[in-house]
Amino acid sequence: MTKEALKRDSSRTLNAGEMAAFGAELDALRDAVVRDLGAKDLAHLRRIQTAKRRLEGAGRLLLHVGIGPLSFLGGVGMLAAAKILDNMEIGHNVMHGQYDWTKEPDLAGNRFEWDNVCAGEDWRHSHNFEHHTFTNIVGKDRDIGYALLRVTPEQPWNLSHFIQPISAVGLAFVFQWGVAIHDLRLDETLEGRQTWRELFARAKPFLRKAAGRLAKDYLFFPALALGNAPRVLLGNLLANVVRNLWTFAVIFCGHFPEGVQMYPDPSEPESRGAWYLHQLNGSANLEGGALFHVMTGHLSHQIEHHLFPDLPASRYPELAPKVRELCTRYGQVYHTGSLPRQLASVFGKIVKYALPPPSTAPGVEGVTV
Amino acid sequence: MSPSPVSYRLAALPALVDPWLQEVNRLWSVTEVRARIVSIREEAEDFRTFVLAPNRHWPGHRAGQFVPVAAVVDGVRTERCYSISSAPTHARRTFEISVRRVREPRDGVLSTYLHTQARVGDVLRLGRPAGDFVVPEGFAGKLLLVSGGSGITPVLSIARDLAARRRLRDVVFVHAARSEAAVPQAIRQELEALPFAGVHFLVGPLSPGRLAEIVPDRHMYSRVYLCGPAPMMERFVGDVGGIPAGVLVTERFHGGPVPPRRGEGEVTPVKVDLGRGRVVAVATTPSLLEALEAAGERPRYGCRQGICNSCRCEKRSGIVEDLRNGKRSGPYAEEIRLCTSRAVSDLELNLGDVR
Ligand SMILES: Cc1cc2nc3c(=O)[nH]c(=O)nc-3n(C[C@H](O)[C@H](O)[C@H](O)COP(=O)(O)OP(=O)(O)OC[C@H]3O[C@@H](n4cnc5c(N)ncnc54)[C@H](O)[C@@H]3O)c2cc1C
Repeated sequence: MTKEALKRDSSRTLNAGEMAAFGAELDALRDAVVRDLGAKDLAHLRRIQTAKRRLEGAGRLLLHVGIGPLSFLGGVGMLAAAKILDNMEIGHNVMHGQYDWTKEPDLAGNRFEWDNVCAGEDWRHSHNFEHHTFTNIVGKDRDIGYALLRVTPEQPWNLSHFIQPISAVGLAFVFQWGVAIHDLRLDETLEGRQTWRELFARAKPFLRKAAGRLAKDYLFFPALALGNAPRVLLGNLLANVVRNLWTFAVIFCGHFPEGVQMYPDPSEPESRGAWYLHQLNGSANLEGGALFHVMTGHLSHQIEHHLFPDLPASRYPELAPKVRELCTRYGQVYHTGSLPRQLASVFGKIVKYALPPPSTAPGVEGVTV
Repeated sequence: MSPSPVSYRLAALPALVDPWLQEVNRLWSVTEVRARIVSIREEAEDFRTFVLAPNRHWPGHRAGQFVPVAAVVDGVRTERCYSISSAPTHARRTFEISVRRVREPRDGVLSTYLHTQARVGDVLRLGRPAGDFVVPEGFAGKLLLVSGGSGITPVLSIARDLAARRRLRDVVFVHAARSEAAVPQAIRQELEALPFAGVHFLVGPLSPGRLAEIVPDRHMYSRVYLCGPAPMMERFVGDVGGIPAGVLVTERFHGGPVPPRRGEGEVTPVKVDLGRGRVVAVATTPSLLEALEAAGERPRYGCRQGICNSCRCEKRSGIVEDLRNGKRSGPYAEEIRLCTSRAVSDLELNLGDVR
């Protein structure tokens, strides 16, 4: 570890009083935004939904009636952009309940469905509950390496980790399937902690959802395209792959870059302040412009998202400087970097932890990795 | 129960198609009743009529019924009921609602929006007409129609319907406005020109005693239709001023009075109606989730600290307080989180299928 990295990586340990004050300040930031929610927040989401719809319409049109490689690439790009908006700025955020306050029936977080093979109800449990409540708690947050990759020395090593630089790339290409299947807990069934019957019951929403998605992109639209079917099928496939690669990159940069902390199981519920601290030190941001932020569903503000998962994500950029200022005052590290830098850092770890750990065990408490 | 794949796909259809339809015309929808405001009329001070042209999903109404009306006010979908004030006619594809602007104790959300922001050409989202404040099919007896303030609307629809069917000879119409400026003059002229047995527009509160002076033979009426502001309705409850109980038909615009704020830490139980005849008494602290669990219920939950949204459910009626900022909800149907809400009044909840 370089000297600079060492300095960057050390968040100060807060005592109980400081922790409570830190929590209260964040609560106040949250309340100020809640009070200010209104027409412009709903208008933002409606604009994104319109953009998504038009991109999808135009993209599919280009794939269906266009001729030549240029219109093909344009079609793939637009369809991929539509799918990314649908999954990130719209789906992920709406399913967090960020727009429940609008009381719009089509934006109800607990009923929303997205253009993804992972069924909404599975996602709500694994992501909204498990991942956001137990972020980076080894053994409880199943999103650490998606039960496939070893991204921290605290995860036990096994033989499959030898090839994880390759399996990570593979996962990136099929990320939506990875996420969906991850929710089924196939690994637990293989280890005998879940019966096959339970697995099958769990798989039902996924199978239904996946069948619908597959039918739409690989049967319905190609059939509609008649002679152009191969082009449409390939275009839809590529759009899905682009979406997968993008979401993989953004999501892996949110929690696994160098410096982000992993936690041992706290065994009892954390105080509000402790939970805030844990979220802060367990997340990392990505730097970029307004369009970049929208295309990541504002997960480029992973820190703010983890502090305030149910505030409309478009508010994170205005919260970020305030959170950062708080971090300075409380001696907390605010992890942030560009997408290429963070991605390189994550891949560095994937390569590093592919190898079995040295025989001496690392420390436990709040290990920086 | 999980829905069958077919109903699952069909349920998603409007959400898929409606946005495309509405890019062309905001009135279009696969299932939703929507209506365009085609004109707005001032009836009296703070009281205006909206002429609405609905889309093809509008099933038509019976005189005296109301319709849920929704608009997005400051980013929040706000839905309230409004009685239809026009008569059901098949010829014209429009109908009317008349709205009083609520200013006390504070500006009402939707009525203020309709008075200050709604414009001709805007599209409102509607529910389906409902309500039993209607004159039974084939009814032929004497009718007394009594209203106060904005309560004139359903009664006006009934009066206009009877006029269209030339059935006014045995009908008396009494309306009380709170002030001279609140008397809807155009409506008054319209009704006074019709052959009612009597039309009375009064100023000031209406009590059973005052009604007795105006309509001395009111025991001769086989139905009395009554709709007005809460204080007026209270005056007629129990004492119908010589009107036999079975004869009185009422419509209320507001639920009972909002209960007073309960003290911090107080554990006075409230009744929670979970539907299907299940009513449990629960404490008003700490959270509804914990209170329901203490009462033996097993609602769905996740993080129990306001992060994950798993315990979200429908509150059909009643008032809750958000534990995180002390904000009170309205009494209307909306969705709440059990883990960050506490009951403030009796509630009706829909917990859905409990896992
Ligand atoms: C069947 C039916 C038919 C109806 N028909 C008509 C009709 O034809 N015409 C008509 O004008 N109305 C009608 N109403 C009433 C209408 O539905 C609305 O209740 C009314 O317009 C007020 O809505 P609002 O959104 O403006 O007020 P809201 O914002 O809902 O406020 C309701 C009341 O609560 C008060 N209030 C709100 N918040 C607070 C608070 N925090 N503390 C204290 N007080 C508060 C307000 O001042 C107001 O008095 C009908 C109601 C029903 C149920």
